[in-house]
Order: sequence, then C-alpha cells, then structure tokens
Amino acid sequence: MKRSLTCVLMAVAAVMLLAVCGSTARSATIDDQIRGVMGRIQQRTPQLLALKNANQVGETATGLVEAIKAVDAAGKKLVADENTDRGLLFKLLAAKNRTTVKKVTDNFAKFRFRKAAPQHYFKGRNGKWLTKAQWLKAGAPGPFG
Amino acid sequence: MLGRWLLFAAAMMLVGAGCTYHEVDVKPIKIEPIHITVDINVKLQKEFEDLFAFEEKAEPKAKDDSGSDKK
Repeated sequence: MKRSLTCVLMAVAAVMLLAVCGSTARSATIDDQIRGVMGRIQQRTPQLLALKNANQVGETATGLVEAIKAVDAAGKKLVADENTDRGLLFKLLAAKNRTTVKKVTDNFAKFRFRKAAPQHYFKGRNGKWLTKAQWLKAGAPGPFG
Repeated sequence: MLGRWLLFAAAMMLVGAGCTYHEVDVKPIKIEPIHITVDINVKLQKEFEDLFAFEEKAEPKAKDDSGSDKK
C-alpha cells in the first residue's frame, strides 16, 4: 500500500516536471526563432529606410510594407522578403504571447505608425496613401479607422 | 408576599442581563497581494519597442515621434 502510493506520487511528480520542462523548451525555441527573424529584419533595415526616404515604399495598416510606386527588382525582392519575415514574426509573437495574429498585426501597424518619420508614407485601412504628418493633420478616424 | 418575590425575580433578571460579557472581534486588516493583469496591447507594444530598439540606435537624429497613433 505504502509502496504503491510512493509510485503514484513519483509518477505525478515526473509528469509535472515534464510539463514544466516542455513549456520552458517551447518558449526557448520561439525566442530563438524570433532572434533569427529579427536578425534578417535588422540587416534589411538600411535599404528599406532608403526606399522609405525616397517615397518608393511605405508602411501599411496591415503591418506590412508595400510599394507606393514602381520599384526595381531588388526593391520588389526586399519588400517580399521583409513581408515574409514580418508574417513569421507575427505568428511567433502570437504563439509566445498566447494571442491572435490579428492582434499582433494591429499592434505592430500602430507601432510602425508611431515610429514613422513625418514625411514617410503610410497606407490607411481605407487604402489611402498619406504621409504621417498628413494623417495627423487630418485627425480622426486616422489610418486605422 | 408573592408579588414581592416576583418583583425581586424580575429585578435580578434585569441585573443579570446587564452583567453579560460582550467581546467584539476586530479582525486584523489583511493586505492581499495585488494581481496586475497587463493588457496584451501594452505587452505587445513593449515587445516591439525591445525588438526594434536597434532602429533608435541606428538613427541618432531624433525622429518626430510626437504624433500619437490614432485608431
């Protein structure tokens, strides 16, 4: 009787330990993946900023970047790669924070708008391209309305 | 005679009622830990600030960050 109770307690402790280790390992893997994605995004930032300063590319209310006017093949690839990595980042952050991809995307778009330079273009939910300064001057409902 | 005894009994009952002991329990104030639920939006914004902090370092010129994001 005493032996079987000890066995049961040990089994329960083992299951709990596995659960804790499993969750720790899972979050470590997600953080590693986020680091990998952010490394690529960071490498791309100077070229992306140059395109934004040239008003060729802009941020959008969907959290992705888009070409405002025709860009060359290198620019198209840059935009495509950036959006692929951003999509992956949204999924990873949603999993890490146990929320939806939409919530992450919406928050990211607002973050990008907040950090944008006033002369950079931003595409609102209504599909309109305006500079940040123009959006702020226009008032409500803003790019997310 | 009986009336006097009754009066005496009633008086004794009144005196007895006034001699009861009352104790008021004052429970000590308990300070419970406060559980703060951080809004997911705040959490995500903080996460983005941390992840994209390299942009601030790369662009030392102050961007015009005065605009509050509008919904």
